[in-house]
Amino acid sequence: MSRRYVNYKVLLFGLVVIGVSILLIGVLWVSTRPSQPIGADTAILPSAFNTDGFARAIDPWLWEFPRDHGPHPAFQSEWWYYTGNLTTASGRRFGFQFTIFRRALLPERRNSKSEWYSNQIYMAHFTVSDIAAGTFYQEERFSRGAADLAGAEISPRFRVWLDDWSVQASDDSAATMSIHAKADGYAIELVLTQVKGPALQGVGGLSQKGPEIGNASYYYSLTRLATEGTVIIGGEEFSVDGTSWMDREFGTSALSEGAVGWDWFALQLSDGRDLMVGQIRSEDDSTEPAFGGLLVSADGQTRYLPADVITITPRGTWQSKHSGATYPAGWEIAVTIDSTPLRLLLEPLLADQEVRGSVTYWEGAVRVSGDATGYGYAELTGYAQPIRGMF
Amino acid sequence: MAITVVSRLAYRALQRRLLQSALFLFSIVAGVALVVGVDVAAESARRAFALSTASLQGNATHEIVGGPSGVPTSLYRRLRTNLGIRTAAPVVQSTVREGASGLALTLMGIDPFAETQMRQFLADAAVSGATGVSGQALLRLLAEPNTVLVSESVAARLGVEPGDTFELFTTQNRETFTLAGTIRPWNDLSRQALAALVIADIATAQEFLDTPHVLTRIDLILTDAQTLLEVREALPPGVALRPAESNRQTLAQLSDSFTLNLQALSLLALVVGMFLIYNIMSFSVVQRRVQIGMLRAIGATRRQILASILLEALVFGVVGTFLGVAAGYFLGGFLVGAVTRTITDLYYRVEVQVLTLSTFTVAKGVATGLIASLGAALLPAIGATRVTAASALRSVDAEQTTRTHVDLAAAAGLVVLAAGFGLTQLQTRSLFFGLGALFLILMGCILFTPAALLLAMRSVQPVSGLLFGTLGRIAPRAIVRSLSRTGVAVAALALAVSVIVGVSVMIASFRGTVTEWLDGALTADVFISAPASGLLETINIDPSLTTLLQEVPGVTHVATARDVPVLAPDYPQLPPVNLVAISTNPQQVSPSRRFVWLAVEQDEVWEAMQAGAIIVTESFAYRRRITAEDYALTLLTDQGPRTFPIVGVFYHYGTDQGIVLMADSVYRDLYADPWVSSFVLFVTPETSSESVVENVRRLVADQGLVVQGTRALRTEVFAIFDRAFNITAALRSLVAIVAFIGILSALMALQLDQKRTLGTMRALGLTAGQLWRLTFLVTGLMGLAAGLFALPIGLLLAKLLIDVINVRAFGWTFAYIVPAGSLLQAVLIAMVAALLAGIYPAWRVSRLAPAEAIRNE
Amino acid sequence: MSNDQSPFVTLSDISKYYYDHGEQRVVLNKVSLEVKRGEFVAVLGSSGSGKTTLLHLIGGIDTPDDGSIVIDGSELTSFNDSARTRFRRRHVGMIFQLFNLIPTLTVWENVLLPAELEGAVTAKLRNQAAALLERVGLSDRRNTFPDRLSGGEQQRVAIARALAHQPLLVLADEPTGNLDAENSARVLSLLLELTREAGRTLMMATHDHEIARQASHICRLHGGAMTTQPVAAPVP
Repeated sequence: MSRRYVNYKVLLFGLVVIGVSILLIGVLWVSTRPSQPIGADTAILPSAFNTDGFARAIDPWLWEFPRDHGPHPAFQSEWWYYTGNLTTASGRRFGFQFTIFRRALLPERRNSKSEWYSNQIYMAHFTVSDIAAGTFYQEERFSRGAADLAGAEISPRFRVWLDDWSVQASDDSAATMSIHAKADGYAIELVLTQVKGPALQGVGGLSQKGPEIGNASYYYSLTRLATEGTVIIGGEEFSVDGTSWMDREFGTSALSEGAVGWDWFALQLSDGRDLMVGQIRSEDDSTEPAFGGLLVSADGQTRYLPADVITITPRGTWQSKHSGATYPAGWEIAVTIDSTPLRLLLEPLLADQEVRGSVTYWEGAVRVSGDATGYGYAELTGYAQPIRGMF
Repeated sequence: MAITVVSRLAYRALQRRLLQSALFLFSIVAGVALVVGVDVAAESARRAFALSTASLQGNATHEIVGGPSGVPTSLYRRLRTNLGIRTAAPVVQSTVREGASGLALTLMGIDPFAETQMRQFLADAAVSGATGVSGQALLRLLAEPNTVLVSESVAARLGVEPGDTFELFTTQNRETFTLAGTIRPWNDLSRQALAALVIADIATAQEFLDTPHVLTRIDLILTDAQTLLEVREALPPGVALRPAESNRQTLAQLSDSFTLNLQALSLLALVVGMFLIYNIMSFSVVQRRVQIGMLRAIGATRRQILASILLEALVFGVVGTFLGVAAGYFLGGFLVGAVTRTITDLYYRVEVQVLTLSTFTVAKGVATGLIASLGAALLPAIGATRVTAASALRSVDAEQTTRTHVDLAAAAGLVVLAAGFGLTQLQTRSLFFGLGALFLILMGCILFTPAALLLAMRSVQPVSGLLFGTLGRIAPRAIVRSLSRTGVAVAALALAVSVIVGVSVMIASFRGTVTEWLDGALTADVFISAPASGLLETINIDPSLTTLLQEVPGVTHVATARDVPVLAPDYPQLPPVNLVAISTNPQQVSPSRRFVWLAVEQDEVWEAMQAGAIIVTESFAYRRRITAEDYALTLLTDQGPRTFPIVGVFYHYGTDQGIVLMADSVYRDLYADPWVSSFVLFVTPETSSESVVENVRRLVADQGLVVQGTRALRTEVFAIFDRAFNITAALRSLVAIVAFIGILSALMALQLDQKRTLGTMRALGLTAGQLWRLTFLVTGLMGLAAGLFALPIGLLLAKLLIDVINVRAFGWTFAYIVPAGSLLQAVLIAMVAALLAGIYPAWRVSRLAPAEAIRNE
Repeated sequence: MSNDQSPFVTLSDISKYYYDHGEQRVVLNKVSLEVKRGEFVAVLGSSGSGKTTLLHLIGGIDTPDDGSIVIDGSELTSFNDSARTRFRRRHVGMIFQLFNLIPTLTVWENVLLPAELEGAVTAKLRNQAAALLERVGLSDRRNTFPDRLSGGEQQRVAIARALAHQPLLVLADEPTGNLDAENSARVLSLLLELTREAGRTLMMATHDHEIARQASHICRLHGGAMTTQPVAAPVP
């Protein structure tokens, strides 16, 4: 009596039925699943913004400080842009960028019962370059300009904030400001004191970005802010001091058709002079002739530098592993001031200082050598994607 | 002699008995399909709710919720700026209705900037706007007033495309919204999440809902204990931090009792199916007695015989189970509508987008199907092993052994019955044990059936002989002689009919109790509220309406009620408390309110309530073990937790979750909540309430409020009630159908069994007409017996359902009302079922030529 | 009893076919037979020769495919099923090889069954039935169920049942085929005795030549055809 024998027909019958049933259930299962997944897309930043109804930068601005440190909601966009180079007593170097952008969705506020309503969006970028460790920290934040979550004000004192990131004046004239920003794994607590007053960029603070009327912004800088405070990396606190630069612009759609981005340099030279140079690049590889630079002497005197006296020559390139974009890395900048040439060699303190948020650009600390020495910040936009229409 | 031969014989036997095979398959398919179908429906509803709650909560690990006053925006700001918590998202959420269809939708106001890490479905969904630029849709949402996003399927249901407008309304507002864009879900989760969702900017939601400073909740992702502690310390009184998961669970368990009861009923169908299988298998064994005897004679072991019978059952079991699971999935599709309808009526709004066939459900279906097949076949298989070569070939009566089985079954019934009653005496509130006891008692009763049938047929014989002559004498004896078949058939039918009786009596009792309760509860003349689905929806009506209502001619008094969910910190595992704050003495609104107990005099209740005491419903007290000895309830108020003395527990059948009644003045002191939820109007005796209803309707025409007279409200309550029992009734019928098939198969077997006898009688002069009469006598007697046995069993079942199951499931006690009509009906159903089932077998035998029937084998 | 020499049972050219997997099989081929009242006709033939079929046809249990059957002037082949059934229970008594008692009825009820089915149980009939039971020696077992009886006893009950309603024609299909020699002899003598006494016509299918020798006629069935031969000296 053998146990090895089983009735294969019966078994086979059973198995076939089981198989068919499983298949049936499987088909049902699969047929209820969506056929094609759709990629994520929640980009909040549009490539085309309606500029109707906003004020344009056309006439010279009647500057008044500290009022103009505060917000200008009649214009569509505005920013408070802080960069700086800091060192510890032992010479360890840090760079930082702390920027709050304001963007209006609509020119008018409507009446709303809700404290959450706002026609303003705020965006902030906060980066720290830990030169010695070779690490670049960055974070981007957004908020609506409502419910006290983000905003800008001049009264009672100058303050711009987004969540717990803020820059605010310590006195009514805003001669001293402090920046508080704490992100994931790094933070800064800095006090910035004006060494030089506001330097108006362009022509009396009207900085032309293209040939069209209104394609300009109101633009001033605090080119030299003595800075001290702490940088926190991980759990470690570093007492630092150094020099910062604040850029302030407000306007409405400030780039022309065909413009793809800009290269911008804010350099603080050890001889007390500060230099802003930049170029707006077009699709056809030309640069915008209307956009120039500014030299601020040690005593705060400013001098406009038209585009034709500035030459910016890249000396190398760096390709980002993250975005794949290729940026120039290292420059030779030649400026002719009163027929005296000034030749400066710029070198990034860290190759990878690429900021990757809703906009991808390179913003990093650079060292200056050549005819003068110093440190500064370089900003390279439009290499990963066209920048026009964005902040 | 190898096992193959035995199984080949089984296989051929199957081939020959197609009908029996089909019935076996049917029993398993029907039983498993019901079990799986109910499970699929219940699971789908539960999963849909859990999914939509979960996906609405997104990745939140915790949530901060408040009472009726909500959560202040300032807390959110503090979390972000002072505590630097980035993973926090504010939500303003409420049910709204679409203007044209009245379709209930969840309006969810969010801050898109806070959402990035929170809600996956927003990140997964592709947003398309009118211009096709995805960013545009979100920008419009932020920038433009009254702009919303919905999923493509909701847009299709509303018949709108991006750029189109449609109306939404609440009790306070009716406004036109523009569809800024549609969201295309890409997986089941986002599909479920978006099923009935309208997404708006938080400001838009606040404007429309008129709650400018209030958040419904703050969703948080908190991973480290330190931050958790900081958040907890930052909480103002009146709000609470709780794990998101526990919230989902407590809410989903709202409907657990309801679905568990359905599942129990579906299991009953499978048990009836087991009777069927037992019947079929034992018949198949009897048919093969001689064959088995011969196999034994030529050397087959008992074990091989057992294996062959069980293998047969297993093959059918496997086939039937898998077909049953597949059929159950389809059945679930049909059931899910009814299940979700009732869940939406009674507990929470839920829409099932995707049927869930969980591994657990499949495993359960497979296990029950296989266990049922093998279990039901085991006795016949063992019976087959008892067949000896000698007895089979000598053709000794097989029924002799059945008689002893009758005694055994009755003895087993006694044991099972005792176990069942013992289980009811356990000090437990477990519904599971309650249902277990119910099953045992039912089974115990059923095991008695063959013995009872034997007795009944012996005693009925003289009577039926007197009434119907020889046929009348033959019929009961035929039943007794084939007791192994008739006993099981009658048991199955009795089981089904007793379920019908039990459930009918239970429903009638409940309905009667609710009718009486409503008569006492609905003494006001006009009721004004808003359509709400489930317990989780709060209705906000402007209290200034009170003054307007007072001016309606004929109105003597306007009372308001505020119905809100409130957190009870002592019961974190239970859903929030339904707090009803009333402006008028509850004894005035319903003077004949009956109390389970009262700590004060009836006429002092309102006084005590105004001093801060509360009264609660019976089911509320049951769920929270509130007794006359232990009577206090702590609720989270705007000023923090507050403990209220409970001065009474009253009967109430409006919701099985229970209600807390509080004086409106006490409520308003403790909660910054301006709204009311409903009004009741009392009118002068001279005024017709219809005219007041008309006047009030005109007054609140724009607000989407429902104005009803007492009668309309009653009708609505009963409509909900009937819907809730629809599915119970449907399952009851399905059980009856399975039982019908059972008795049909038993009668088939019976008739085939008696083929020779009937043929002889035909040869001796039994006309075809007499044959029909005999068959109907047999089946009618069986039906009558089943019907009569079912009555006491059914009444006992109803008693258990009312006294044990309903108390444990819903916390309700109600009167035991036995409708005589339904008892008579049950007996009739049993007889008609049996008579109908007799038609086919009788037809088959009558067609059989007597010459064939008596042909010697 | 009667000297009437006209045939009591007349079979004229009856044929019966069966179909097996579409193939026609002839059981009876144009069989003709005349049986006079009071005669004992033995139908001889091997298994499957059509003996049972012939009896079934005469008893109206089955119908021929061709030909006619006339019993006592009634043309059975013109009756419908119901009329045949009624005719059978009034005028025909049947005895089967396997006794075919109704297991759910007592001995007494089995005996009365044909009359009861007819609804014609009279006091006279009861007396006759009681007398018959007495004759077959089972009056003390009248309330016993068939499964408590031996084979011989069962067949004796069957004889009583076949005769209780006083049929004119008794059809017996190998009534001793399942019995031992002793019981066989007893059952046979009872059957012959009781039919002869009342002058009833008996047709018995058998393959026992000893039994056949006691018949007035012997019909042999072979290959669907029948040959008839009278028996020389019927022995009482």
